[in-house]
Amino acid sequence: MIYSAALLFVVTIGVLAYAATRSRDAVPAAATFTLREGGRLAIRLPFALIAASCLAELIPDDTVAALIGHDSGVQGIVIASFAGGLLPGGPMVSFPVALILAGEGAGTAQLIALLTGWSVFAFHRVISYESPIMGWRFVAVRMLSSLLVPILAGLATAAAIATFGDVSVGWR
Amino acid sequence: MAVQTPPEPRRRMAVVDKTTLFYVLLALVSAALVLIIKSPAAMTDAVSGALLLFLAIAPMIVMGLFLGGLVKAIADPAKVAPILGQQSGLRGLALASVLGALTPGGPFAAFPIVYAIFAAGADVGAIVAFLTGWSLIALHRVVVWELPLMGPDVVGLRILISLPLPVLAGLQARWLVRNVDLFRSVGPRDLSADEPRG
Repeated sequence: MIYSAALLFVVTIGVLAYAATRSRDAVPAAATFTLREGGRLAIRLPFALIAASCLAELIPDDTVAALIGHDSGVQGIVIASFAGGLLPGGPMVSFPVALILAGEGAGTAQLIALLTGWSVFAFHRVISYESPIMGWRFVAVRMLSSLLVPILAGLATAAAIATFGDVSVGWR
Repeated sequence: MAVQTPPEPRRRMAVVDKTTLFYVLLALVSAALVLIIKSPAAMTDAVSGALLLFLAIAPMIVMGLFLGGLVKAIADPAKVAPILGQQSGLRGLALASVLGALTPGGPFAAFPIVYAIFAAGADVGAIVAFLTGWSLIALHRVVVWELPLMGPDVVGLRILISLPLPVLAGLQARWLVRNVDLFRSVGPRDLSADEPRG
């Protein structure tokens, strides 16, 4: 997160310098935007984060492993796609979980469907950030548009593996 | 620059609007469920964890909003629309996907930026492609988290397979907005539309 913050800081400074030369109003306008939207989020966001954190606590994490093995086929890919969306937390949680699942016999296609489902559905991120900022109707459009994405990723992986052979997970 | 400044008579009055109320209720109900199903300790952990997280990400959100505000202020809708608007075709969706994949920072930074691009004249398809590219390919996340943990083979395969998917999602979003009445008016004003108008 320190790395992300530093990168964001550098990008912001760069754009700030560019904007200041482009237009006299840009910086005050950006400050007003920040105050207005930030003020709204200052109340909304803490509660959204508490809700997400408590909901994550309620989802059982060990039931996922049994359903998405190498032989679970298309059904396993579909299950993994949606289970991935329910994985709580950021990359520091989900990649280790995926690695553990791989060690317990999850198939590569199912694993990629899981990570893709986690990336695009991410119920946790929807509750904490996307819906408070973008609105629920936008979330609905994006969700419907992404419905097939993890399944396609899983099927494409299965096809690639059938053609070229399986890939290894982790470092050899 | 003159776009999408929602009418704001007496908007400041509404400190707690309907959306905020929804999150307050959701937080209360889910915390109560953890208290009943798990334990008081689990609930305190979840709540304090969430509040600590909020303190940790608050500076990033402010920075993300400020960057978004700058982008919105210097982006000329007359120029953004042909590049990322409804008529931008596949090239617009591909560009949005690439921009998304390159955007650093977590959701707390990305969503304020996306909201500003939306307000500057990009269409829903481009925004969906951007967010899908950002969440799916996310190059900074790959370098920091995925590669060290998952290894090069599976990461390479995953990214290769993911490349066309943001564009597909963007096309689907454009189709939805064109053909489903409920979604026809989805736009950056959604946020302010939640507010009771004065």
